[in-house]
Amino acid sequence: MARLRLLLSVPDPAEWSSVRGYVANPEQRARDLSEALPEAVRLGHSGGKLRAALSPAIEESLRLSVQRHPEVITTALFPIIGAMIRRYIADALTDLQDSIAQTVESSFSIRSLSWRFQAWRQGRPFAAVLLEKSLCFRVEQVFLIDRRTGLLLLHRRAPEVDVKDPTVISGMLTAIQDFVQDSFGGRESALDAVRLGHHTLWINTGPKAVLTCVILGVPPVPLRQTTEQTVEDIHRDFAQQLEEFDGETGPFGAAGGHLDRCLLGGAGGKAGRGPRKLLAALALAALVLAAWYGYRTYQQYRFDRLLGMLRAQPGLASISAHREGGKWVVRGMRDPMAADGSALAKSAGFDDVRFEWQPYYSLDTPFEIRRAGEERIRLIERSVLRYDQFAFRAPSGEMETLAADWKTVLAAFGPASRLRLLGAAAESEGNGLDERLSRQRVAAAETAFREQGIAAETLVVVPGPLPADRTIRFRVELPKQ
Amino acid sequence: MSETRPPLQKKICLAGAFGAGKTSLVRRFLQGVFDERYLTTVGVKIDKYSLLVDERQIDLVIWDLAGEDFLAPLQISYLRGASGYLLVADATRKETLETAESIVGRIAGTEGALPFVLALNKVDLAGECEVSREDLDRLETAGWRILRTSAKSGEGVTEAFEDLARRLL
Repeated sequence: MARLRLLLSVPDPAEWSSVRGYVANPEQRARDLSEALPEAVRLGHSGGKLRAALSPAIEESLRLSVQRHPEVITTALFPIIGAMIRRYIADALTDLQDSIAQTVESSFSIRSLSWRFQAWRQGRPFAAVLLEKSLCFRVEQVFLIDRRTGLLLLHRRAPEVDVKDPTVISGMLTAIQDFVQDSFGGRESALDAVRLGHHTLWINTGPKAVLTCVILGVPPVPLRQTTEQTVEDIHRDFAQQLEEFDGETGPFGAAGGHLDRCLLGGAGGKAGRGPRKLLAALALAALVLAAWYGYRTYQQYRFDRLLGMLRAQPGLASISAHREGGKWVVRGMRDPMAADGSALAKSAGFDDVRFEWQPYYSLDTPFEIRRAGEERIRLIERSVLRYDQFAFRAPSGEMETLAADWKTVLAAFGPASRLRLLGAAAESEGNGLDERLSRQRVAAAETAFREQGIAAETLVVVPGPLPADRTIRFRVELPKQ
Repeated sequence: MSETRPPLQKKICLAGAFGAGKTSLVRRFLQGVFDERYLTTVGVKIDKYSLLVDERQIDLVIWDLAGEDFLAPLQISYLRGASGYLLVADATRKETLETAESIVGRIAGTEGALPFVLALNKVDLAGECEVSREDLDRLETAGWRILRTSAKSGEGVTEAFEDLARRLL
């Protein structure tokens, strides 16, 4: 029964042959599989098994492709990789802009307010406007160059910019790029900037085309983003034209808008004036600084002269001198007999000097002499010549001492000093005798002084009845200073 | 319409042995932007030569490469992207023709078979000619286009550039 079933189930020979033919034809099988595969992938997607099975193969294929033909992957990724990197950088720049904006927020000026208004009107961040206004630059020319041939695809320039033959310049730029790559790097690295005086060349190299900007002045960082974005946009919008370029530049005329987007910066040579403005500002600042320095030096010179005069003053010892809150302060020591220096400072033209003196005794000779003179005055004025009844001669020992003391006083305070001899008598001597005796006593004392070499004009004789105690006392009168 | 079409641009190179007269050949025709010192520094100098071929303006951007000698071989990398080249040999020095043959071989090896024209220069010095008729016949048989030029008299120079330009179209 089973055998009969087998014999009955044998297919038709023609059909059998067709099936065999299909199995033996791998091309047909592959064609059928390619039709079924998308559906199979769709069905297998939810399960995750297919994804897991394909992952190693795809990863290996990608690795091999990167290893063997990196330029293919680079070209494929070029339009998006820049955008990815820029997004990260843009986030960082936004933070930076915010911090700049915060710093500047506090400073209010008419100009910053007008920029703020402009930012609000244009719907742009204030920091972006601030960057644009603060930096002096001007993109003078933009070259779009075919990377392989060095031929100029399109050229744009700012108004009034003098341009040599851009076709030839384009070739030379490419030649220099090749030269630098051959000499220092490999084909994978490219010269991306050239600086020459006030000019900077920014070279953005894409897989097929190179965008070169000639910039006068200091280009801001956001400009780099603009040029990078432009070269990527051109690769996206003109991919086919770049691929098929054979010298026909007509199709690239439509890229003019892309290039014009890079022609940024101040108009009418604003950037050119930038360095001159800066120089003028620096020169002015230097002038002001020099004037201020000169004035300070002159003031210091005058003050040093005053200090010299103060030091020459006996009884003053200045230790330090400095400025404090815009005023000169002199600290040091001062003998009580010495002048305090204010008069000297005023005569030198300084009204605002503050003196802080500590007292001390100066050993300068004039002060020693004065101090000795004052001591003698005290001794003289304490001295009393006492007389016996009816006696009128001065005791010689005491007179000698008094004369010596008076000489010291004269040396200290000058010959205009006066010594008053105050005579007195006793009541008991009475009846006019007292006064006569008093006169005789002071006259004798005066004589005794003169005999000791004292000039008579320095002595003033004052006889008198009182006090009635038979004495002579002394008073010193110093000349007014 | 044809007036508004931008010129067709083609990069060509000027190659040959040192002293074959490449630079003199172009100097008569072109008001170059760059000094000839570039040849000894960067090894190349760019010039432009505009001409009309079949009523179409063609701008030949000429990369004048420093002449080859035993110390400094030709920098083939500068030929990258060139549509063709003008080979220059000195009719009074046979070795410059040998150099030219060597250059053609090397360029074919790296850049493929590019169109070229040989300018046999200094033909005004006819009495001192070292290159034989047989040599030229041999090269012409091999498919070389050879034009006799003189940088001194200007003979054949325009024709050489025009001939090359036609081959690039």
